[in-house]
Amino acid sequence: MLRILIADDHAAVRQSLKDILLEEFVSSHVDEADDTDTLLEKIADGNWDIIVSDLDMPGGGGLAMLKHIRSANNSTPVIIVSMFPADQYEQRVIDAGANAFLGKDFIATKLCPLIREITGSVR
Amino acid sequence: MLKILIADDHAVVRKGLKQILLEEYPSAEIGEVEDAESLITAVIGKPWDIVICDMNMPGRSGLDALTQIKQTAPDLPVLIMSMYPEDQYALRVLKAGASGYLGKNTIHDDIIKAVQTLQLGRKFITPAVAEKLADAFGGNSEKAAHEFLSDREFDVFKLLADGNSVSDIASRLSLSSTTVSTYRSRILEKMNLKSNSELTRYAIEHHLI
Repeated sequence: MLRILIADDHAAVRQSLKDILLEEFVSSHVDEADDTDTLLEKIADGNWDIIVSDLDMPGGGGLAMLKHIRSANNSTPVIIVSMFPADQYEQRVIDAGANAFLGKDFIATKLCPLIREITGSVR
Repeated sequence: MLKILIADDHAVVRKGLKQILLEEYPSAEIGEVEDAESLITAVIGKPWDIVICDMNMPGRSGLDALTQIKQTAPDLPVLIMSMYPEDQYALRVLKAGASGYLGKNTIHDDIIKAVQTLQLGRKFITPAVAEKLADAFGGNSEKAAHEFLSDREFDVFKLLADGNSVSDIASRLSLSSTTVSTYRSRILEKMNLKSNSELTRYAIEHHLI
């Protein structure tokens, strides 16, 4: 069973992410966080196969989370999603230790294939 | 059958909102548009019970669209949602004719309550907005400089603070560059600022961008 942790401060985006993921990975477990502190707590508490986090959230967002977990040698795969354009942020989040960057407009089409590619999971 | 029109430039947000609404109203008709122009067209094209509109969309802002909707369909309740905290924008959108304001953090908890309130013909006011309203009436809060701007000046202010050039803003708002420059001078004068970088700093300090 794939264990996915999603983090976004926009409730409608979390709902949408959850629906997209559960439709594709039917038996997966998806948990949510709505700010950076909750995200870090849930990362510390659970054994996740992948983390999908918004770049910009209260408490530092995706970059602060990456800095925190990578310095603690946590190598859980991370996909950063954002409303900001890839050309401005992609390299920065990859340098910070993310496995991929995805613009929010591509979530519906590219998120699930990306998760399959990163985790090696088949539905 | 309840007919709700959602306007947001992000498909992922529209999908999430639609899901939340359909869980409560399975037989509702939910329309989707991705910018202010299509929103106006959809409102003119057929009757809706409620419009839920993002404040910041490419092209004309949600605030601008709200003003036009109020001219063409004055009785259509419009709920404005935004990425920004409710205390910064709520009064402005309510004054412009919105029936309610939802910050992104409260959407999940409040949207159904807001729709039910609007169906009763009332405005949806959260406790935080009510407090802000009470302060405004009681004169307890000193007005911030940006609160003296008109709605149009405020739209131009946000675009300037976000680093857009005068010509970019002119084309986004369908105005001439000269008009935008006039707005810029008026904004700087009203806010007692000297440059675009001061304007950006002000916007960041006041959590407006």
